[in-house]
Amino acid sequence: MSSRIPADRGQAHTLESVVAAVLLLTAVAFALQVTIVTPLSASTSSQHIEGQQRAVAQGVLADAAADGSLKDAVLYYNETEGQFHNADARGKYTQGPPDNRFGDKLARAFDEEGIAYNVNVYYRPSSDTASTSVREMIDQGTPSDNAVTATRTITLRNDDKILDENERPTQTSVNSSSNFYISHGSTPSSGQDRRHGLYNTVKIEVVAWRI
Amino acid sequence: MRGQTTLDFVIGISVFLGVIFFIFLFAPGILTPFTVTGQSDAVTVDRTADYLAQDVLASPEEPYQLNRGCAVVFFDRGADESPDRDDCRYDDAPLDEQLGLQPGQNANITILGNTTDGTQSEQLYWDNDNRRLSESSIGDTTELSIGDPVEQRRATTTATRVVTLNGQDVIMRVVVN
Repeated sequence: MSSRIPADRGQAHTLESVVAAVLLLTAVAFALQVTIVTPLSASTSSQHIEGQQRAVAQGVLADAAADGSLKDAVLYYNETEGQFHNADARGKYTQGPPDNRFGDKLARAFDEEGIAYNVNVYYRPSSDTASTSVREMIDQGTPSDNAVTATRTITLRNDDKILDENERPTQTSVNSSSNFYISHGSTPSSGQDRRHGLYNTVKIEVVAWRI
Repeated sequence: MRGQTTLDFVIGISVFLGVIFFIFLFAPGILTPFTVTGQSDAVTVDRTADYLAQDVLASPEEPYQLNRGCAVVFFDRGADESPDRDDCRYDDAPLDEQLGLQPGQNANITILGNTTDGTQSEQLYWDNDNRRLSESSIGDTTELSIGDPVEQRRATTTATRVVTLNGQDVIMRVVVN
């Protein structure tokens, strides 16, 4: 039983292997800390889903811009109350989309899929050409980190009429209204924009995220 | 002191082997969320949906707005629509060739929507008699779906687009497996 292992090193083998084991576990623990994976971590599949949501939002905006319902949604404004028709107390739609054609399109595209969305209207006020004002149209909460956006720009003309509750034009045009939320953009004193009666350029943004 | 040498060696090596065994079992699990199966499907399905919604069935100038005639003929080559196939932006080739699918990949394209009130989306048909979209297949209708039905047991990747067809917003669903 004269072993090749030096006879006086018995405890050292245990210690050595324990140290080696601790080293391995430390390496794994370190690797775990480097790659923290949570259900919300970005991965190829979540990128794919974000891509689909963005494409759907772009499609809705393209469709709404084509049949004019996007512009109608911007003009869907209650002058007397100074907010969108039938909006909630805070002046925006928080309980679902507005009761107009654009709202119906959003509902068909997103509501059934369990996707929340905000709609913001950006425009340049006349007083300050360097800044952009925003008016929230639909507010369903704070977007998550994985939210996507899609935008579409439309133009308003001086003679565009503000719409009533049933999306029919009223007698008031955006230019003659004193209470419309989008003010007249700064227009050059001459040139094409003035001749064509440009009122303002409006950017509509849809922010969508999974809930 | 001498008597314990073998015992110590056994304890030491079994602790070590136990940890090695545990790590070999555990380490592949760390990477599972990053290994995506069917990764090329996600690219294929996205490309196919963009190709259809922004190019061949619509036009690059007006993406997402499908040309009614070309769209109906795309789903049924025999449909009596105008413009006919020659004036559309796609060729008269099998579906997998047109979409550039890999061998073994199968695509299914379906138009879903709601022609009545409500938000529930159902498969749509083109009513050839009344010239409108319909949710029922009764009468002379063209099914707005092409490609083999999706096999239930295989993993699938889906792309969704909202497009305009015949003045109405509908959902185009592309499934690849």
